[in-house]
Amino acid sequence: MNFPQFAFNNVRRNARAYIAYFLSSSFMVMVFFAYSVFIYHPEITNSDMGPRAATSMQVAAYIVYVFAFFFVLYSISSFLKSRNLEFGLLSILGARPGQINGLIFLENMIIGLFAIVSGIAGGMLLSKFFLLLSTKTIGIGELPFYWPMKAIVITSASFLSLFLVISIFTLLFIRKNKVLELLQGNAKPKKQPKASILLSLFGAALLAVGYYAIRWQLSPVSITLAAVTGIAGTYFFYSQLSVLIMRLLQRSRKSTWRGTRLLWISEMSYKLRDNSRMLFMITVVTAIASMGAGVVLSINQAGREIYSANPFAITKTYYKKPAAEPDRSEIVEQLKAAGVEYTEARADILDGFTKGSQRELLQLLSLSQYMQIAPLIGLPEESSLGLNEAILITSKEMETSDYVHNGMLTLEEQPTTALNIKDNLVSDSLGFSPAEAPLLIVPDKWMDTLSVAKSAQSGRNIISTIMFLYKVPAWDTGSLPTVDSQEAKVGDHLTEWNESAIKNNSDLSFYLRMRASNYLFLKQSTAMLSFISIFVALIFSVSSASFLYFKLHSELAADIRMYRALSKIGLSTSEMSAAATKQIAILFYIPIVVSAIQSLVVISPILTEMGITNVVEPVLTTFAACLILQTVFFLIVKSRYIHSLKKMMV
Amino acid sequence: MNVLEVKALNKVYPGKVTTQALTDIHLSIESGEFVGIMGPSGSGKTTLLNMVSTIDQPSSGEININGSNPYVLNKKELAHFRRRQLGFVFQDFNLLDTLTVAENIVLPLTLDNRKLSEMESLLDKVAGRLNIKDILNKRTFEISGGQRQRTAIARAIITSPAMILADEPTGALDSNSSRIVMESLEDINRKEGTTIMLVTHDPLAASYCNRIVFIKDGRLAAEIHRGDNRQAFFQKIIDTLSFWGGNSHELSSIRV
Repeated sequence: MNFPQFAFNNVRRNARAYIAYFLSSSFMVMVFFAYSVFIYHPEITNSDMGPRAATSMQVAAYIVYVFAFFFVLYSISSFLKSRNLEFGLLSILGARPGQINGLIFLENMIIGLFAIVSGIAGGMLLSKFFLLLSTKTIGIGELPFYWPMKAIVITSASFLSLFLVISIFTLLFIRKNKVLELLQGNAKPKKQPKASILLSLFGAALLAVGYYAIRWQLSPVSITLAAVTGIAGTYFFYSQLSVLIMRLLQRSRKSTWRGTRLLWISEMSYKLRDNSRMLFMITVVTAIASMGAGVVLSINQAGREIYSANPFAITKTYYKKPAAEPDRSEIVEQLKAAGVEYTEARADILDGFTKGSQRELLQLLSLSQYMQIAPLIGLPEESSLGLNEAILITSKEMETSDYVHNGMLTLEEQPTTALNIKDNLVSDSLGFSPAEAPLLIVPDKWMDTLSVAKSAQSGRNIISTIMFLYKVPAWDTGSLPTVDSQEAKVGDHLTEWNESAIKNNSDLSFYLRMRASNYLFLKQSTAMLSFISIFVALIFSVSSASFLYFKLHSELAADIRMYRALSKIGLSTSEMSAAATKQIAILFYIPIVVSAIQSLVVISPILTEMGITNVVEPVLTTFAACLILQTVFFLIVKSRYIHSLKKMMV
Repeated sequence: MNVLEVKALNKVYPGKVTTQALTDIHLSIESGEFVGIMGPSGSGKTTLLNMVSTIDQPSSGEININGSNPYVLNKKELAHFRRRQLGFVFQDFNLLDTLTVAENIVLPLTLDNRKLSEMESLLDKVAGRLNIKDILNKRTFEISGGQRQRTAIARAIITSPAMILADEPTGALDSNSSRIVMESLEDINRKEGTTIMLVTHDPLAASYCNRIVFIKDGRLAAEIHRGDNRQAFFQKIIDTLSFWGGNSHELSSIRV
């Protein structure tokens, strides 16, 4: 048996020890490969969404690669640690250091090669699903499966070099160890985890600074400050603060000397310290990915709300008074060509402000036009208004008390006459109006008076915004439009027409708004980002789970010894299972919980700035997804771990 | 009253090569007795101890501990039985590095959710008895082997078990520590009346017992009682061992 044979047999016959390491590496290759299949797809370059998508995918692939590097490095260092005894034995039997290095190097390369081969094979299957999913979410046409030669070459080359570099790297890990230390292996008692109070306080202070920085104001400086202090604070949270908390907990006999707590709390401080770097990495990346996904989901939700708040499929708005009767033939033609029924309405909207220091914006509309629009937006018709009477229409988010005092409303433009608010209607269909302000329905005469008053006030001719609103009942299905829907297609034609019109005449006095096109544009441009952030979060979730499993697996022998001894003195299997489950659960869930809190803290001021108030829901949606995934892994890892422990209980 | 009653015990390990580890063992230990089990390597001492510890199942025969048969209990009840009725002292201590000495000692009590004040007073009592009060807040790797074994004994007796089972408690200790540990066990046996079953290779450790049962090749071989003089008893042990064992080099105190 020559040396390569020995290395090969070592891997083959000790498959159980290598399997976790192998599977995790193989998984990394698989994900990277699936991304590259997408990036180098021949049809991707032809679609207009394609190049942008491919670039973002490339970024994601880089992230996977960088993470794969650290992951493999971490895995291998803890894997080698668990094999100290074996290396010690080899040294005693007379193996030269060079031979042991050679053995490790060969083993690594064997596992790496198998991981690449099986990763690409698995990636073939995954990529079919991945192509389907990515085209669905991004909203580009279907991509057929192809023979991804380029992706195979690139994946193999990059991972081959990764394993090569890491194999050389790992030799640095073991060189310094003495034979005696190797032989003692893991039997040596572990040093007590120490936490410095000063560093813990520093970590807490960093977190607090980050928290206040992002609340204080949203400038590049404060965001950078928050990011740096937040990340550094998280590191100290895991390496110092959490250990300190566990130590303080241990100090209280009343809380610790009960049931299995004595067992798992003391074990926990070791496990937290040993895995602090990994937990820190998982937390930061999960938080960043979830912030991305959270922002995207929030924007998407806002887009949905804008769509459903607008009862009109097409709006043509003039912000300059047209010379003649405005031409709407293009819209009419398109609608006729589509063969749908439609209703047109005109709205001349004038801005007004409430009197007083508040100066709340109002949108004034004449009663006669309102009577046309009211049935289209589902509001009651009003036949007549008295001379100084008006109707206020607000949405749910607006406060009536900001505008109306004692049933009266006074306009800045007409300070002497107060309007009697005859009726206050609430509608969720105000999305068509140019601004986010209540509609004030006034008698027709008022509109002219106000227009004159405003012009006089500002010294120039103020006119109202003229809107032509098109309601198409066939398109108001109550659901959101898809790319293939008629509404979207008509919208696309009109957008094209509008763009060419702008090109030909730079002084255009109108713009077209198609709610479906707007919605779909927003959806497509954010889908990419969400797709990538969710995928990155997913990869991290999976690889962190496999890493934690790996870590637990390498400590299994020591844990088995401990639990076996304890079971002799009367620890029942259920108590063992409870103690072990709690430890694994903390390791699995603490990064998720911490990153959820961080994302909420960071994301809410940002989104509030963007005008999105419903923050909690999208963030929690992202974390619910993470949580479900993590729970699946947790259950698998837990049952495998406890299964191996159970076998050794007497 | 008999704390332990072993009747017609047989243990066979099935497999490709069937091994008859124990054959027709009869043994009873009275309350307050300090009984040693001796025999050469592979004689079945540990098998017998495992059976009494309820860790292993006998192939046939009967074992009664404190009047009840533990083999009718399920796994969970068995764990509770071991926790409350038996105390264990091992050759390699089996203390947890992650806990302090005090925490190691009270571990069996916390598993039973005893009151804190009760645990503290019991801890104080056993630590005083074993003379380890001043190391209670130390970690297990900061103390000597003898102190570790005394910690393990404290853990074994804190639940006031019906019987203490000691498996080579001096196997990993130097002579001075061995003497202190054996004196501690003897002291507990005398003053508290705790029943102890000791499995050992070491004639010096065995000389602290009241009675020694010899096993060879899975069968009871001899039994000797101690008089007043420990020195004379030690000589008797040596004589019996060389008679039954044949070779004097088997008397080594290191168990392989």
